[in-house]
Amino acid sequence: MRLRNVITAGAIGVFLAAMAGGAFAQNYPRRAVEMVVPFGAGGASDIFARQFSEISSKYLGAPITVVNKGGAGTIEGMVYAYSAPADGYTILEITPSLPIVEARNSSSVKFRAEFEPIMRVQADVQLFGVPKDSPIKSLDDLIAFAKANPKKLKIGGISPGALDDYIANGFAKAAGFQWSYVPYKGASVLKAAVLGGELDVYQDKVISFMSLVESGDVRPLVVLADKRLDVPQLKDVPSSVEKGINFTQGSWRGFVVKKGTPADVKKIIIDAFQKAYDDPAYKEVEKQQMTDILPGYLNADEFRKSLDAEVENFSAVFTELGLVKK
Amino acid sequence: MDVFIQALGAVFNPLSAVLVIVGTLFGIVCGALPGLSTSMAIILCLPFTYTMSPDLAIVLLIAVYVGGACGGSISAILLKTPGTPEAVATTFDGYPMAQKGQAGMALGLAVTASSFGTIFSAIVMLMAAPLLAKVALSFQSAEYFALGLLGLSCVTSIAAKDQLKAALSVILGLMISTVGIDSINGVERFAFGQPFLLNGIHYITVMIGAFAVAEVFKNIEEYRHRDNTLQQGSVSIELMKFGEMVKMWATFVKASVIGVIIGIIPAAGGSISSLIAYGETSRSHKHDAIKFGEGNPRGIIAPESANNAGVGGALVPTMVLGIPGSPVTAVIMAAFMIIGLRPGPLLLRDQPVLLDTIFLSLVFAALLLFFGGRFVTRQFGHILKLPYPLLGTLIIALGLLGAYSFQNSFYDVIIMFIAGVGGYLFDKFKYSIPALILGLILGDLVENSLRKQIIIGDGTAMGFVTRPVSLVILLMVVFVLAWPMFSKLMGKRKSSAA
Amino acid sequence: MAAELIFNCLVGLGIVFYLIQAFSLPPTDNPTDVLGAGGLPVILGILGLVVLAAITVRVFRARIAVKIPMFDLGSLDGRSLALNVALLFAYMMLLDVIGFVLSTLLYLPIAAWFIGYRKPVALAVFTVAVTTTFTVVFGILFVVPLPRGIGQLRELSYMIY
Repeated sequence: MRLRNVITAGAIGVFLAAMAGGAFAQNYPRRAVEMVVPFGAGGASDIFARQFSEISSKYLGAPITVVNKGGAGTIEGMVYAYSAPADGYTILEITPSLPIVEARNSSSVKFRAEFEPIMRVQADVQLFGVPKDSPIKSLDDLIAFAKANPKKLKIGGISPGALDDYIANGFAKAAGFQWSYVPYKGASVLKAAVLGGELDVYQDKVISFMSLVESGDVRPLVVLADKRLDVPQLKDVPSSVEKGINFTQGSWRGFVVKKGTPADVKKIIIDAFQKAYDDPAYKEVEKQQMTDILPGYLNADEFRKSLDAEVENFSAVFTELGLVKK
Repeated sequence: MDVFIQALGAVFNPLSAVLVIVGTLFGIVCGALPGLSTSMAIILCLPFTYTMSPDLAIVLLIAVYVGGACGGSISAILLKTPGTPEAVATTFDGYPMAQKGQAGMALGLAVTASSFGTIFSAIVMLMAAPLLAKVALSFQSAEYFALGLLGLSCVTSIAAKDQLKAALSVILGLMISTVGIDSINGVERFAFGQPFLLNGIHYITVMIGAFAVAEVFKNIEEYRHRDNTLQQGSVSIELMKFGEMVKMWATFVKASVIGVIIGIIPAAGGSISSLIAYGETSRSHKHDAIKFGEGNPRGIIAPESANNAGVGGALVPTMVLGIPGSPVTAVIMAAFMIIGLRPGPLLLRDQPVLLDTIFLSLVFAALLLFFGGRFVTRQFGHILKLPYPLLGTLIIALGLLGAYSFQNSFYDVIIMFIAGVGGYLFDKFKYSIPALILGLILGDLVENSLRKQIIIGDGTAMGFVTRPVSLVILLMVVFVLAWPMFSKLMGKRKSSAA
Repeated sequence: MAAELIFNCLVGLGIVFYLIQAFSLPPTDNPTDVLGAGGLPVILGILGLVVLAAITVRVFRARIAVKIPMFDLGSLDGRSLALNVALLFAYMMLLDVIGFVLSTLLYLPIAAWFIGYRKPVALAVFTVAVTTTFTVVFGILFVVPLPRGIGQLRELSYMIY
C-alpha cells in the first residue's frame, strides 16, 4: 500500500508541476508532440520514425512520442491524425502507402486535401532478383522468357494493391510483358518463399538484398533507378533506365501535418526536422539502412509536387488492375 | 572454444547480470499486461542500447524477449486474460487450476516450463542453427496449409465434450477470420465499408472478451450464491515439488521439440506452437486423473514449454537467413542492424561470437527465471485474494485497456465487448470458446496458404501431396482425426477380451 | 429449449447473411486463384449451416432448458449482471468523451457497488490505486495514447500522460 501512496503522490506532483508549467509557456511546443506511425511497431518505417524523432526532438525542444496506429492498412493512422486538432502536436509519418490509399479511393479522408507536407526525408531503391539456381541469368533473359510465357513467371511482394503490387505491374507494363504477382503477408515470408524456391522473382529494397547477394543466394537482375548504384557488390547490376525501361519507383518516407496548422508552428517543425536531417547522427542511420544511395530529401513544395505526380501514376496502374474502389 | 570463452566473459559479468535481471523483469511485466506486446517492450529498450556495447545490448534484448514469452502466462492463469498471443493455450488449464486454489503451483509450473523450453531451444540453436535454417526453408505454402490443418485437428482434443458444437465453434472462428481485406486479391470482405474491419478481427481482442470479460459476467451472476469467504481463504502459492515435475519430463521435452520446430518457421508463431503442443499433450494423456481443461498440470507445461522453446527457434532464421520468425524477432533484427550487425547468411561467419553470446544470454535469462522467477511470479497469486467485486471490475478495466492498447484502437474495445456478451452466451449453450479461437487464429494461415499453393501450382492442388514434408504433415492430420475412433475400437477390443 | 432455439436462429441468420455476402464477392481476376476471395467463405457458410441444422435437430430431441440470467431481469442476479453489462457499455462510450482517467474513476466504484461490494472506504482506495497504476504503467511508462476525451478535458489530460 505504501508504494501505491508514493505513486499517487508522485502523480499528483507531476500533475501540479505540469499545470504550473503549462500556465506560463504559451509557445509551441509546450508539451510532447505525437508522431503517428500508420504501421505496427517494429517495421522499417517504424524504426525510422523512432530514430528520426529521437534526433529531431532535441532541435524541436520537446519530446516526440511515437504512436503506432497500424490498423486498416494505414487508414486508421491517417484518420487518427486527421481527427486530432491542427495545432502541430500531431505529425504523421507517410510512405507511398498513403498516396496509394488515395489513388485507390479506399478511404473517405482524402489524403492530399487534408494534410500538408513537411519534408520527404529518405528514399529506398527497389531491386529485382532471382534465386541462385534460376535459369534466368540477366534482365534480358527475364524479359525474353516473360514475353514468350505471359503470366508464367511469379514475382512476390507484400500485400495486394500496395506498393510492391504497383512496382511489379508498373515495371512489367513499362517493359511490355506480363507476369503474375503473388502477395505475401510480410517481408520474412516473402524472403523464405524466394530462398525456398516457391517464387521465380524476388523484389525488395537494397538493404534486404545485400546479405543475400553477398552470400550468393540471390542474383540481382535490375535496379529500379536512373543509374547504377554506387555499391561495390551491386556495381554490375544494370539500372532500369539504362535498359530502356522508364520505371524507377521505390519506397520513401516523409512527414505531413494536418491542413490548417498555423504557419509559424509549421515553420518550427520544418526547421527542427531540417536540422535533424543535417545531423551527423542521422547520416549515420541512413548509412546503416543504405537509404543514402539515392537522394531522398525533398522540401515541402517539391514533396507536394512529387506526391501529385505519384498519385497519378498509381491511379493509372491500379485502374488497369481493377483495384480502384468506385 | 576460444570464441565460447570470449562470449562467456561478455555475458557473465556483474553489469550484464544487472541487465538480465532488469530486462527479464521488464519483459515479464510487459508480457503479463494484456495489450502490451514483447515487441513493444523491446522497442522501448532500444534507445538504451545505443550507448551500450553490442554484447550488452544483445544480453538486454534477449532477456526482455525471454521474460515477455513467460510473462503472458501470469495473467492467463490468474485472470483468464492471455497477456500475449503465445499464452492463449495456457488459459485452458492454468485458469481452472488457479480457481481450485493452486495459483502458486500453476504459476510455478508455467515459469519452470518456460525456462526449460528456453534452455532446450538455446541448446538446439547452438548445435544446429545452419541445419535448422534449411528446415525453415522447406516450409512453403503447401506445408503452411498442412500445418494449419494439423492445428485445426487439435480441436478434437481441445473441445472433446460435444463434437458437433465444437465443430460449429471452429467454423464460426474460421468465418470471423475471413473478415477484412483478402490477403490474396485485395478484395474487401464482410467489412461493410468500416475501415476498422479492414485489418480483420484479431484473436487477442476476441479472446479478452470471450474469455476474461465473459468469465466476469458469469461470476457476477453467481456472486450472491456462492460461499465467497471460503474461496478467498484458499489461495495457495505453494509450488509443486520438484520430484513431481521431473516425472513429467516427457511432456516438457515433447512440447519443446514442437515449439522449436514451429518456432523456426517464419509464418507460424508461438500461439500456433503452443496450441499444437497443448492439443498433442491432451490427446496422449487423455486418461489422466485430472481432465484437461480442468487444471491438469501438463496443460500448463505443454504450451509454456512450447512457446518459450519458440524463442530460440525463431532466432535461428533471424540470424542465419535474415528472416525473422516472429514479430518480436523482427524487432530484434532491426535492433541488430542498428547495432551494426547484418543478419543474413554471412552473419555467423563474420561474427562467430554472436551465436555463443545469444546462446549464453538465453541460458542466463532462463536460469534467472528458474531460480528467481518462480518465487517472484507466484506472489502475483495474491491478487486472487481481492474480494470478487473488486477483482471482477479490475479484470474488466484491464481487459478494456488491453484491447485498446493492442493497436491503440477504440474499435478493438467494441469488438471486445461484443465478444464478451457472445462468449457468455457461448458458455451457456455449451459451445467451445477455445475451438472458436483456434479457428480464428488458424483461419488466415489456412486460407492464405491454400490459395497461394494453388496459384503457385498454376491452378492445381497437386503440390500438397507431391511435396514430402506437406504429405507427412497431412498424414499426421489424418492420424489425429482418426485417433478417437481408433482408440475407441481398441478400448472395445480390450474390454471384450477381458 | 426456447432460448437455445432463438440462439440457433440468430446464429443461422448470421451465417445466411454471411453466405449472401460471400456469394456477392467479385470473381477472381487471377485465373490460377481457383478459390478466389469467396471460395472458402462459401464452403464455411454451407458447412456451418449443415452443422447448425444437426445441432438444432438434437435440441428438439433433447429438450433441455437453459437458463440465461442476463435476460431474466426479474431475478436479482439477472438485474445485477444486466446492469454491469450496461455499465461496461457506458464506460466504453464515455472513454472518448471524458477520457480514460475520469471514466475509469467512475466505472470502478459503481460497477463494484452493483456487484455487491459495500465498503466505501476500501472501494475509494481501490479505485484511486487502480486508476493511478493503470495510467502510470500504460500511459506514462509504455506511452500508450490513452483516450483523452474532448475539449478542455483533452488539454488537461496532456498534463498527466
